[in-house]
Amino acid sequence: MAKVTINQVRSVEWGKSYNWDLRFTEDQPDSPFDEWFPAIDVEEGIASLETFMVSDAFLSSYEIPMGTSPRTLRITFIDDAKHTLLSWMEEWVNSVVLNKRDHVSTLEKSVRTVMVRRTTGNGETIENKRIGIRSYYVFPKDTISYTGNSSSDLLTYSVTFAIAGVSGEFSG
Amino acid sequence: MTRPSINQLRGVGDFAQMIRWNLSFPTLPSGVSVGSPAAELNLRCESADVPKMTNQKIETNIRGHKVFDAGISNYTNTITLTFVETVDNMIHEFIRSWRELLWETNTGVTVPKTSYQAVCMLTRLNNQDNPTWYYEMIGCFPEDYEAGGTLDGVTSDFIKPTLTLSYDYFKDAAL
Repeated sequence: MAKVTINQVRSVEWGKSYNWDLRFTEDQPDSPFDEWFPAIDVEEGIASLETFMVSDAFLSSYEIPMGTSPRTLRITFIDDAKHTLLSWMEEWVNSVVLNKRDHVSTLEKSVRTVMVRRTTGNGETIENKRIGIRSYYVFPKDTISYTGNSSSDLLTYSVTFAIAGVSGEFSG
Repeated sequence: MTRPSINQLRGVGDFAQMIRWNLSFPTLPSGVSVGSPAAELNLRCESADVPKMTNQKIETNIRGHKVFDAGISNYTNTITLTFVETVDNMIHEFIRSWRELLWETNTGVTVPKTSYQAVCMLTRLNNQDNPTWYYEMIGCFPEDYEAGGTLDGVTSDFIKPTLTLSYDYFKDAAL
């Protein structure tokens, strides 16, 4: 088999890590983030496979597929001077899900829909039905904390969302 | 193909000259002192950087074959203006009053970005002093400045403050 040539490498349109978009499509935050979401990083659990270790009686062992585990979506975003997104997240957790500490809502009422889209350089969705656009039902997990400090920086949050389901055409 | 001839070179037209340009601020925050009239800043501006954009190219290196893709393009995001100061301290007051909008002395009070940003424009001129090209920098505010040299007892020169403006992006086109 011949070695890879430089023209083979040149002929591929390589993927770039900044060509993506993300927005909440239902129960969006207030303006200006109802039209776009200021996410700066996203880590999306696409597929997860748990394995079972099979050990034979002698010297070896091997793994077989067993099932899947919960997936998460981690979004890092920046907030505006009015703390629009922090307020939106707080309301989601404490009012929508926890009902002001009165009871916990059902999963159906707790989730919101977020869409992650992979784009070409000109902003169009890539032609790939399985991965181009994925919409998830998610709810925030763990603690959402405000951190004030004394440095000249933006307000940045990293929030992990549990993926409770996938909406839309692709249901993988 | 032969070398260019002298008549071909003579037919190119007038070459653009470094000295033909103007500085203006179509939008300046209220509260920034620019003297009267505002064109006084243009009179005192000795030199100006020209904004540009660079591309952060991406390297693909597979088993010794190195190729490049265009990546994110970045504006330089700063330009530096060099002024000549006059004894009425016009440039110092221009810088000081703008600086105060960003961080008020003693209190550290800051006005919103919509109230401290400016639009800065550099216009290149032809040899008849007609505008031929413009650079319009949007979202300008003072990022750094130098007061104009060290005060001493031996140097015979004018005080020449420099002002480094931060900008978000620029537009440029022929006029």
